[in-house]
Amino acid sequence: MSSYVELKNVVKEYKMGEVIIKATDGVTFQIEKGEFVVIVGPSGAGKTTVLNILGGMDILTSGEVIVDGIDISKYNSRQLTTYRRHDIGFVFQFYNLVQNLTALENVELSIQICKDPLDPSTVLNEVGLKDRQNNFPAGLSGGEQQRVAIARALAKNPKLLLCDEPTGALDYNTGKSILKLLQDTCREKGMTVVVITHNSAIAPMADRVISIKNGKVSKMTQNDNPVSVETIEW
Amino acid sequence: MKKKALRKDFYIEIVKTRGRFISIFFIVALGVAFFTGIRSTQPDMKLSADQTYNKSNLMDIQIISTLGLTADDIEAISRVTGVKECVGTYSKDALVTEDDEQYVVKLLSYESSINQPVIKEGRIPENDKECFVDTHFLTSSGHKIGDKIYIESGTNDDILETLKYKEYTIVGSGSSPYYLSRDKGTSSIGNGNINSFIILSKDAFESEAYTEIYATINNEKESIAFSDSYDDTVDQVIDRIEKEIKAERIEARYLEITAEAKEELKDAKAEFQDEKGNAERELLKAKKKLDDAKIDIENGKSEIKKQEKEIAKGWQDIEASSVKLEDGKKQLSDGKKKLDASKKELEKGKIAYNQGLKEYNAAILDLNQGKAQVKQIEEQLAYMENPEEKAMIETALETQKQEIAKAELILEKTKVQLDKSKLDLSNGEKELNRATLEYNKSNLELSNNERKLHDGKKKLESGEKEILKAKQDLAKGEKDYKSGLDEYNQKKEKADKELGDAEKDLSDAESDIVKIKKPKWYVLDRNSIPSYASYGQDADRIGAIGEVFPAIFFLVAALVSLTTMTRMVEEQRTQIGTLKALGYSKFSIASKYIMYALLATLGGSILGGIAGSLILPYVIISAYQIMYENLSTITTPLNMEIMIWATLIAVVCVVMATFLACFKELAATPANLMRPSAPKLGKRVFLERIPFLWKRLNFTEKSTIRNLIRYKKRFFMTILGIGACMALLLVGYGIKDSIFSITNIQYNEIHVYDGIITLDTAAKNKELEEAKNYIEHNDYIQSSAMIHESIIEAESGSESKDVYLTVLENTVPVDDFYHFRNRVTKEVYSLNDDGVIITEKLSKLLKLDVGDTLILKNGDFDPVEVTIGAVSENYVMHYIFMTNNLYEELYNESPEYNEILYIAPDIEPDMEEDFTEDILTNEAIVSNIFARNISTDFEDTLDNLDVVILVLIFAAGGLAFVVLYNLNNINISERKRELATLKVLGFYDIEVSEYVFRENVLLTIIGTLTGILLGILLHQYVIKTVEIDMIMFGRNILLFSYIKSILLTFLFSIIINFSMHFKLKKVDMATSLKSVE
Repeated sequence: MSSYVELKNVVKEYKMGEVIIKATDGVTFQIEKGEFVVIVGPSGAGKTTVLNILGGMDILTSGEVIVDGIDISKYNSRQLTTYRRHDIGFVFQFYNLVQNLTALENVELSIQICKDPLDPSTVLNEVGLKDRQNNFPAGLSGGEQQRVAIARALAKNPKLLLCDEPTGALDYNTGKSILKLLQDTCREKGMTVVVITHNSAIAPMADRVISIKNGKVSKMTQNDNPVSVETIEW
Repeated sequence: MKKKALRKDFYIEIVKTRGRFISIFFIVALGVAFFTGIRSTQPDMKLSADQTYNKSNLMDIQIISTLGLTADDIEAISRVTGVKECVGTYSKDALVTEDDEQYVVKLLSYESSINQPVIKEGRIPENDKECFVDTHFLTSSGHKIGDKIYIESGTNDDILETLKYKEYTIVGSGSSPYYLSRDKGTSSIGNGNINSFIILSKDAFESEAYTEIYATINNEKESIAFSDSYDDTVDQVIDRIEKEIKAERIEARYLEITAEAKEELKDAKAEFQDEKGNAERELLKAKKKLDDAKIDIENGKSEIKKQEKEIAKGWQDIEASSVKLEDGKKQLSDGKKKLDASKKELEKGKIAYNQGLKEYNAAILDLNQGKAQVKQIEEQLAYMENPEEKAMIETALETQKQEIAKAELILEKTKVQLDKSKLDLSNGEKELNRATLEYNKSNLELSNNERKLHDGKKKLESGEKEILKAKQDLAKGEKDYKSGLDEYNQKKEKADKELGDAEKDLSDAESDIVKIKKPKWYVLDRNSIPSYASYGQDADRIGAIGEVFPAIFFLVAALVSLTTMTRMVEEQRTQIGTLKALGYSKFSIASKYIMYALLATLGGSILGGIAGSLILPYVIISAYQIMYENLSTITTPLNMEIMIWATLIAVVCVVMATFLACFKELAATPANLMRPSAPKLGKRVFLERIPFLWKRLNFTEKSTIRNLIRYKKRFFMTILGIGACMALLLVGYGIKDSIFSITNIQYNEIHVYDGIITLDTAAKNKELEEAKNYIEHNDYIQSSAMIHESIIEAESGSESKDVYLTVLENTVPVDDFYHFRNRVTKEVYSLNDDGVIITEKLSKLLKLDVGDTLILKNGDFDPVEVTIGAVSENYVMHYIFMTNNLYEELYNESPEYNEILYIAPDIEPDMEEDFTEDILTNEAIVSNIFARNISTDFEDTLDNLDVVILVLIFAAGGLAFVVLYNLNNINISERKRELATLKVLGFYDIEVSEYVFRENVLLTIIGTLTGILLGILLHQYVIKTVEIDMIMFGRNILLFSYIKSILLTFLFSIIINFSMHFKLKKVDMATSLKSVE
């Protein structure tokens, strides 16, 4: 039986004039359903490329990407959009909320286009923003904004929750609480969560840690006893 | 910018953000081009006309006198200070007739110095048999140079009274500066429209006085036509002419004319007397002749009677003669019988005589024998002696002797008898011969008589024939006499009438001489040339439009620059902070943006200024050239003053906008600038307070609405840009509608008659009656109405306007010819005796409304006051309508009807000329004009507007493109993250586009709505500016024009949005992952 998510020998090349740069050079890994995965690596190692490919935001040069039994690597741009629409929840480093919409509306924005969404208000409650639903992003703190972003991703009821440096723009404590939220979501809802970070300190909290270096998976470890994020210090 | 690095950064910035640079460049170029173009058009139009005029040395002043002008007048005028040159010329309206075509032409005399024609082909007439024609004439008539044309007067007057010949050879063609436009005015002959001018040499005219004098002035300042300084110079000279010589020349001419007239009258009187004498003599002669003829006829009649009598007598005589002849014949035959009997008797007599003679001779013989016996017996006796025997013998003898003697006696008697018989016989014979002779003579006579009788008969018969002929002749003579008499009577009547008329004419002439008014002099400037005046007005109107339109462009340009530069400064916040942190002065930092804006603006201004001042005036003047086809020069110099002004305004606008954009950022501390700017707070909008509506919107729509309100600058820029685009289109189409309504409403809904016939009020009553009759019985004319129309002055307070006073007969069903109604409410008015109906524009100009009092100044009448009963919709000219009752009440006399309106729907356009020609055969009819032709003239100008509309569409399109492009550009660059996020969230491309476009669409809709409002206001302004006093353009824009404008605006918007769709597709999702710059 194959894994829930499987990347096989994924190569992504960028042409920069005459030079061909390989962002990933044969990345291969598997993720099982309901796992909390942390992809770590230094800047420029190719983490974001992996995430982009996994999130259907970029097209790979070669290799296979199988999500829930479907190979998305041959998808055209419209199919990829549909894939993002229904199967992927994305959490950005800079939250990327629509400034003109309230927290609730930002969540509603994402669910108006998907098939089987969750109730936005409930989701916002769950992420701890019961009282701030009608605030505009500019009126929320960074952590709160990131919670809105997570709620936005979760409300879509995606197959994968992809988080790109979700704590990158947050202070230590807020960052921690966000990671906690993500971990809890994974544990409580059985959501498959992939977090990309350069901070290897958070690796112990993951079920699976994938280290990427120079466009290749340097190490993939399965952690049978992930710890709660509260216990981790960095 | 002395700092090299900064300078490099500056150049790279321009290259990198060329879209932004170009959009500022273009919006400024557009604004400046429009400003410069439209502003330059006015002076360029005037300059072009001035050059055209100068080439031909167009007159500056024209003097017309009601009694003609003389060489002395010219002499006097040429001595007036300021007059450079001065010539007298002739002009005359005439007809050129070809097969079935007829052209009304203006004959002009050639002047080598002033009003020189522009030769297109051929040459100027060199002798009095040649002519130079309007190029237009050649094209419309199909003539070529070398052809001959025949000129007729078009009136009862002989053309040879004014011209030397009727036939002229075309030697050249071209145009006259006097006629800039195709419209050459109207005439009272032919179809009433002057088709062309024809220039003849001066010798070709046979006129006692000049029709007009043309003069040029010393234009020392070389001020151009239409300019104030030119007008001043001309006015001064006109003033001098009016003050210095006018009165004197008028007096001189008056004396000359009256003296001439008196002389003429004297001659005329003498001639009249002569004529009268002659006529009378002739009549007398004729009468005598007739009388003689009558006597002759009478004589003839009695002669015939006599002849008839004679012939009757002749016949009687012949009858008698033939009876006589018959008698004669009978007598003659009786005579003959007698003669024959006589002859027979004579024969018998002769035979008897001859018998007698024989018997006598025998008796003689017997006697002689007896005697001889006696002698013998005696002898024997002598011898016998027996006396008894002797005695017995003697006794026997004696008895014998006795017997013999007896016998001898008897014989003797017989002989006498015989002789007598013989005599008788010879007498008888003689008688017979005579009778025979007589008979023969009678016979001859008889046959003569018979012949004579025969001849007589013949003569009588021919006499009868002659009489018959004579009778016929007489009958003819009688008839001739009768017709002669009739003719004579007619002639006499006519002669009497003519004489009477002539006598009246003479007495009229006599009183006319007394009445001869002093001539009026009209010293006119070039504004008396219709095309000059209208051209000047057109130029000024374009100028007036130039006051408004460019302002909109500048406003939009300023807003575009402001938003663009604001965005640019915002984007470069970090860089500004960095530079500041590095220690660059505020000025150095700001100068980058200001220089950026300045460069774009200056570049745009120069391009726009040059393009605008070269192209726009050229396009507009070319459009006007369709109407002013003889404008031979189009000059569009670069108008530096206007260009500098435009550039200055543009630069100030944009630099100010840039400075404002920089100001805020530059005030902040570098540290602040290095941090990303706090995103603008999302704001709740008013609509959210209405949950009912708000809940119905989806998020993109909510976002759209919030966005619109959040970025006010952009909002206004777009609204104004789209609004201006819409407004321009609306104005363009609206102008056309407005002018169209003149033709459409004025001539189809208000003046609903089909044509106007002008009557010659000087015509005789009989002719007027005939004309009326003719019109009443014309098959084409369904109904007609007599009206009185004259130009009077309407006054109120200090305002005074020339208006048409139209008096309608009470009996006329006014509705058939005019519809009086309120323009807005469409309420229908009717004319009554209580007040007048005035037209809308007049009411506005005089600031009068229903119930107010208006003063009418009508010629020699005292001014009267009337009450305004209604103000009626009207577009062309001013009218005051009143009933004839009111007129009579006001002026104590009935109006003189001088026009006939008619309705003739069956006349097709191609029948017009024939119809008019037909109508003009009536002496009393001066002209006939079809209402639809009046409207056609206006429609011609409509076509010119198409070019203007095209220019407006281009400008509108340009505006819409620049503004929407700019808006989209800013929106996309500013919201790249948001858009990328949406993409990551799984929005399809089209949904992403919609997210942006919804905003554009909404802005387009709001902009369009604003544009409708702006357009209506602008249209009103333009219409009121372009409008001349005499005309009111329609105030309404047709629904179809709204639709067209809206569709075009949306089309522009769609095109831009469509192109933007591709730009949106290119937005990289990876951007969403990057940090805020």
